[in-house]
Amino acid sequence: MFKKWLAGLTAVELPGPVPDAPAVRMQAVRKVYQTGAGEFEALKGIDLVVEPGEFVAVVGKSGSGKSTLINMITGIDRPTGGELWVAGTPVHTLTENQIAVWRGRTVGVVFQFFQLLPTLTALENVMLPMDFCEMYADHERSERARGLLELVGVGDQADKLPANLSGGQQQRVAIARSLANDPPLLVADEPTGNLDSRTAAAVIDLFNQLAGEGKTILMVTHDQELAEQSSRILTVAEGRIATAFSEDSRHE
Amino acid sequence: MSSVLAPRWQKVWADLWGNKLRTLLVILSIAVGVFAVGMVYSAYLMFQRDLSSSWGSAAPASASLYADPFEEELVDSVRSLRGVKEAEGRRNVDLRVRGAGNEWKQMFLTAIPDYSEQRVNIIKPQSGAWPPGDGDVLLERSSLAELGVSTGQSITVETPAGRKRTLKVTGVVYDPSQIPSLFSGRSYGYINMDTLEKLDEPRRLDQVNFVVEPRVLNGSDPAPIEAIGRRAWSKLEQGDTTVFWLQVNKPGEHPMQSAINAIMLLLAVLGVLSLFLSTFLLVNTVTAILAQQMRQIGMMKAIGARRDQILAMYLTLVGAYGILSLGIAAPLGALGASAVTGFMAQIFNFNSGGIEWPLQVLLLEFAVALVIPLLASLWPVWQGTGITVREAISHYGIRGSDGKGRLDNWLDQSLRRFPALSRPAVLSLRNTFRRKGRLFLTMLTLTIAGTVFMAVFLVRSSLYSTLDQALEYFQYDISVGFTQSYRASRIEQEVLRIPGVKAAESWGMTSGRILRDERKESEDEASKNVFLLFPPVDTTMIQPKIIAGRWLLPEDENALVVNSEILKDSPQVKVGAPVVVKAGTRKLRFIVVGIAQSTMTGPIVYAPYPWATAAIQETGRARTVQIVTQTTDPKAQTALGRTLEEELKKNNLRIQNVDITWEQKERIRSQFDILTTFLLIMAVLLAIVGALGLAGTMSINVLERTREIGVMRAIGASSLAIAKVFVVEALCIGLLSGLIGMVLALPVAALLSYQVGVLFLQSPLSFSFSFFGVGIWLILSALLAVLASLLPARNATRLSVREVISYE
Repeated sequence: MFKKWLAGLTAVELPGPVPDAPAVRMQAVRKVYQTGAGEFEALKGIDLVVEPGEFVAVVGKSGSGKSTLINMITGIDRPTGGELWVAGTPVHTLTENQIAVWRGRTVGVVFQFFQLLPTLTALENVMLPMDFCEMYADHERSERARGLLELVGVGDQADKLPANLSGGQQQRVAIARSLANDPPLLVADEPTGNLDSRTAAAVIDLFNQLAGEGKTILMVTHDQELAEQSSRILTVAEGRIATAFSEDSRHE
Repeated sequence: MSSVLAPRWQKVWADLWGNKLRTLLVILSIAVGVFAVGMVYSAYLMFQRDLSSSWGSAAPASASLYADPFEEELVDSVRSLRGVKEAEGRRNVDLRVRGAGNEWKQMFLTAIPDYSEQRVNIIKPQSGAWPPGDGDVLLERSSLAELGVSTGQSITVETPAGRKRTLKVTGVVYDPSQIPSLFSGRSYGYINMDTLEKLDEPRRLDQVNFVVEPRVLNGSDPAPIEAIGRRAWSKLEQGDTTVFWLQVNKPGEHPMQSAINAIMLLLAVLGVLSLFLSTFLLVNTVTAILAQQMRQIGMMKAIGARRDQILAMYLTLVGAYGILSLGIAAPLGALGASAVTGFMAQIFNFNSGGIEWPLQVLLLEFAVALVIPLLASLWPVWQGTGITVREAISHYGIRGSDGKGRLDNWLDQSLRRFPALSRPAVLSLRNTFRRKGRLFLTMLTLTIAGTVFMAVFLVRSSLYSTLDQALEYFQYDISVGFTQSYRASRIEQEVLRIPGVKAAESWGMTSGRILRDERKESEDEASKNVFLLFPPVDTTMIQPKIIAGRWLLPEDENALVVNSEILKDSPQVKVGAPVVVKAGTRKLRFIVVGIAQSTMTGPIVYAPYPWATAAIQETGRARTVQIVTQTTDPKAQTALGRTLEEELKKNNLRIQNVDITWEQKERIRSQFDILTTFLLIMAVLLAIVGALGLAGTMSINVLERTREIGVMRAIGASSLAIAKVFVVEALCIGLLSGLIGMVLALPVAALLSYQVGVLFLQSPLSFSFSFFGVGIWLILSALLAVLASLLPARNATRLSVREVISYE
């Protein structure tokens, strides 16, 4: 009995990914919440393919299901039905514990409120995912983390605690952290929601730069202006993808 | 329920019912204090009640006079003295008895002239016959196991004249004024006057017990009793008998009062410590609840709540926790108290009267469950409700730690020296020091628990090492005492003839009392009976540990070495001082040259054989022989003891007692086991409280850092990794407090060893460090830390990221 009790604490094995798969592939993904007022269908059958290197902005009104959609892709929430493949891994088949490790290696998550651990320095915060997922050799980690902080432009803040950084600096550290394990996919939920417009623009530039280097980026935002700087806009309404523009179609 | 509550009380209800783990935690922390205080206080009351109803109702003697046998009528002359309420005469016979084990033991037979007219030191029937018939004996209830017989069986006694008589055990009695056989190592039997004659004893008495009128008493001062005792003394001597000794008891005090007080004190300390620890725990939890609900408080203020309204809400919550704890802890406290009283009843030979739940205990428990938590949480609640609306709503994301202080800088520097530490380890270490107030209280709880735990083990090991040193005294394996003196050469010759005996040495022996000074009046102010041993000065049969002065030398004449137990009764005895000992009718004058460590075998003085035997006119004679056997096997030594007894009797040597050294050592050790067991139980209880405190802190930490856990999960931490972060933090706290506790335990244990030593051995214990105890605690605290953090850590890993990110 005790063994079963402890099962949640033991190490995990992950299935290997299918090679040359799209960054995200969703097939008839549904999500139903049980609420006090009965069932609520947040996603009503989503079909979506995102190719590697795309910078996708997800927009929609509050309650449209855009956050749910993003939470599905990061494995933060689980689909009620349908199939969800991210970077060649069938996420809908993984356990909560497997998802944690898989996510650490495959998806970089950027939160609205940065969510840095307050007792670790910027550098240590960036190194943490490498420790957790046992990526890179011990001695490489510090160097790599420093490199990432340089990349996002806060290399000189490496040894400071989050409390001593500005909001913009904290978000940059958070982005550096999301890149720590070199994940193919970056997911950001309102990453600029707490930043002034200048800093926000700089963050978007950074995303564009990363997409140019081959990362796939999914960003939830309600700021149409920022969204238009992405390569593709997905508008979610009432649990469905309403329209899908690609950069090319917008400019035609 | 909810429909009748105003919304704000509904919130209180939701806080109580909605977070069951937290509610359980708070209730447990209050309950610990309520339980401990309730248990100690009601155990104290039950103990007082039972002791007075058992011992007090037996009309314990104010004083006893011991004399040569006298006629029953003489008791009336004592009874008629002014100030004497009741007096009663008895006859005591100290003899050898053979019970079921076929083994001879010491027995104390008391003859009472009229069992239906008992007035002092009343003996009560328990089962079987009452009063004892002709040739029958009633056994004290604690002596049944000691002798291994039951009602209906027979015992064989050996009369002082050397004849064997069979007595039938016809019943069991309870004598509240006796120390139980388990401790005294002797059995008690009760007979009538006719049986006395069958034992070749004259139909006369040799002891008068009397109770004084309450009006002559002046508090607990024994002086008025002594004055009356002296008048009784002359009354008896006028009746033509010789009185040896007047024993005055302190009014209203049980013979083992000092041991009772010691145990009560320990219990009280346990209660107070538990109360402290439980209060610390509560303050921690309440502070955490308020910190967690900071935003809610801000919101309530934003919509118009006044600070006092919010204050009332949280204090009501605390009050509700208190009432729930009271419901759990009060009955458990009563059960605990009756268990403790039952245990004490066995030790001190009184009847345990069962569970009682007096009002004053309930009131105290009520105060501990409600008043103390409310007072203790007043400050954290006041602080917590002081937050402004702006502060509350500007708070988002992961909360920072307390300000960066000197401790953090020191920690940072230390961590920099270990660059190889992984980030999760660094996280655990920094998290440990994140909430300094909470860490302080948790550490205090665990440190106190650890200090007491380790100190108990240190005292225990000091006690045992002192005991081992003291018991090295016994270099002989068997000691045989005779009822009269024989030529020393004859004794040795007889003993050495018996196969299995390696060496024998005969000593002079007598008993006497130490007088306070030379004055005639001092004779009735004498000490209790002490043994006078006259060994050859170069004896190798004993190895007394000298704590002052020196051992006897060949050129010594009237030199005297006393053991430390003498000092209990005769504190005036000092090295270099003259001492007068009254042995029989003779007064022997000695100079004290040394003080030896007590061996827990009673007050003993040593004088050089030639001079002392000459002084009591027994030159060349001896009354005891110490024997070294050829075997080291305890069973064989016991068997040899029996053989010796049989053989010597065959050769017309009349034997008083045969003591097997290893059995004596066992008995001495078992007396201390009770003390150390008691201390250990106390230590274990505190360890549990400490673990509860740590579990509480870790649960709060998990609750408070739920969002962080989500973030860690989001960046790839497995459940194992998250659990590790918390377990390592708990280990950190556990080991740190273990180390501090270790440092504190040394002086505490030294102090305690001193006290215990002075109390039980009349000299401080020789301090001995116990790696065992310290090691046990360090391992135990690590283990407790892991266990205490496992449940919270597991709860932490079960939270999914979505729950956590949306968590408020």
